[in-house]
Amino acid sequence: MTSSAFTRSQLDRRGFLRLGGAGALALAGSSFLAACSSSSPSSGSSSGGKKDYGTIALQLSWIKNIEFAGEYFATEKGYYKDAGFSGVTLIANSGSTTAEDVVVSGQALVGLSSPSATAPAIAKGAPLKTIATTYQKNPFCLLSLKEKTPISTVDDLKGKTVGVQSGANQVIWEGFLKANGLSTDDVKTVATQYSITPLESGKYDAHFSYLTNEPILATQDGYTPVTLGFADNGLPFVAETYIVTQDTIDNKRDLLKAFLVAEIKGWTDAVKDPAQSATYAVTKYGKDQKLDQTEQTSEATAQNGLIVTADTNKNGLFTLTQDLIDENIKSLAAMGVTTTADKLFDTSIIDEVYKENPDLIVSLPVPSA
Amino acid sequence: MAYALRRIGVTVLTIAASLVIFGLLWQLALTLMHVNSYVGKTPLDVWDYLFVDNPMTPDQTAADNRAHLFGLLWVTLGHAALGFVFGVGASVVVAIVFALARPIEFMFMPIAMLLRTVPLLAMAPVIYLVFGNGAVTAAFIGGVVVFFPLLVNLALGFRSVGAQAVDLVRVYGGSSWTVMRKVAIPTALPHFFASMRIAVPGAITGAMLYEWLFTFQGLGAGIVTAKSQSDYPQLWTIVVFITVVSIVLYTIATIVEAAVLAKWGPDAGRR
Repeated sequence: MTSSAFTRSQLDRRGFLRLGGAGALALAGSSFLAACSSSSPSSGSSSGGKKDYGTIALQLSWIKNIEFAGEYFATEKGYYKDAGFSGVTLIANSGSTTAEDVVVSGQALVGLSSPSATAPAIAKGAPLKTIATTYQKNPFCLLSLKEKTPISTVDDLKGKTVGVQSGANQVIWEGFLKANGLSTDDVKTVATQYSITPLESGKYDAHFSYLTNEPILATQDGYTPVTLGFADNGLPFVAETYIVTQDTIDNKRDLLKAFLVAEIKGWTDAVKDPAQSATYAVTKYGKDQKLDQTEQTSEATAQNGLIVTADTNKNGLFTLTQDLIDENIKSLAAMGVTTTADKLFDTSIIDEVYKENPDLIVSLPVPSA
Repeated sequence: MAYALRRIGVTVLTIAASLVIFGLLWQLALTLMHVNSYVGKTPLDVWDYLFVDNPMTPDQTAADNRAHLFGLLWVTLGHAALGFVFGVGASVVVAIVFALARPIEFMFMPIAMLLRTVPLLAMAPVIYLVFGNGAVTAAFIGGVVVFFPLLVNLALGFRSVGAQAVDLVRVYGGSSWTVMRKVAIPTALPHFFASMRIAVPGAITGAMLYEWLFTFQGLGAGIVTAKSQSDYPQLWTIVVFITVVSIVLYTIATIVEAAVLAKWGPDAGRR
């Protein structure tokens, strides 16, 4: 056998393997895509008589903790059923997908997100609208520890190191810096995960957090949390917003109104009873998360401060005043996203809901925070 | 010379053919599965992202996109090289130690395999606390991905030396080290290169994992940022970049393999 013939046959086999490899890649890709495109929500008829909207899916913005207490109440108390749904499937989110993708691709009819993610998606051509909001102000903040390096003002931030999760939070963080005239030269940013262990062990000075979550975890670990809220420092945009496609607004308006009625009832109950919110999260919906009852009750109580304001007591939960909408557009501009109110928001549905059901407007105690 | 040229030609053609088939299957999958065009981008969209200016976004030209992605690519290749060198170096040293002192292999090989199963994602906070988030961690993450397949293959290679060849060296008074140099290393070379072909794409995976978990740099972080900004054309282009780079590096590895084995492999000089 000559050496050249030997090597050539080797090469041919390898060439075949190479092709096989590419094929396998494509196959893996297609099965991934298949997983993405399966299961579309069923929609019922909206003809007269008893409404039947079938089962719809709601993409949550995070794991099943008290952040979705209103949805647990709506399920448990039968508000979804009363509104004409066979059921509402709550899809948890570990932070790796965005509600925008899920709603655009039709795996969920409604998603919970934030304008900081929705506005860029719309700019890239996603046919989405924000129709209501649970939180009147966003809960994003920097958590630092009094025992280590307390950071309570933007001025304290200079020269410090901040741990931020890559992805959506990174985008918000960069917006916060821009809104406050800071750059990455003033504040050192390092990538981190959702655990606050690196903060507690002094690896960095502040941790990108949710006001209602990590500060309470830090308290549990025996530290005194110091927070710097983004909503009070140049970035007042809403969060836990309800997003749907334009197609759903155009063709399933009744369904959306029925859904929002159930959500309002659920959240009214949830705001009134933080302890029961925590019980649902701990013992049923978030059971596999091994949540702590006391900690979840504190979170639920803190969360009320984001949901209930003088405006919501006057206009109803989930509503957005024109001032609030303008603030959102300004915040987004500060983050480098140019958009307009009518591209991002469609508040006509929630307004109609309250016009048709004025008794849903309940005055709730405004928490002092 | 003519032979070498023809071989390079065949290789280039093979890569081109595999890319065309890859592109066709990609397009076919998107069409057949009815993937939403907002999320699922086609090969043509990737082409547009890289080479056609979008009139909708005048401040983001195709040239900007190319410059951005190539910038990220070099960073990722740097991290991949770090992990590759660390992983290959460590596994060669450990495999030689295993071969020279067999009991050590029996003691540590199972533990090494156990370490392999620890998910890096879950370990990320611990790795961050221990090694920080700099070059050491890049080498560590890339190394872990590269190290184990290489170690197993090399250990197998060193073990499969011919008894007669060892006897011959021994008869002439050669030491274990001489056996290693004259017999074991040439015997293990095909195993070494086989695992090298796993290690090259593995190092890139490791680099991207490191960048995603610990930094805001390179393609690993870039793909996460692109996703959170709903920049799907960029996301798919990054996937194409990684695929093409992996195929090219894999091909280079096979060419090096053929050349080295022809000169120093176990069948070298055999006609």
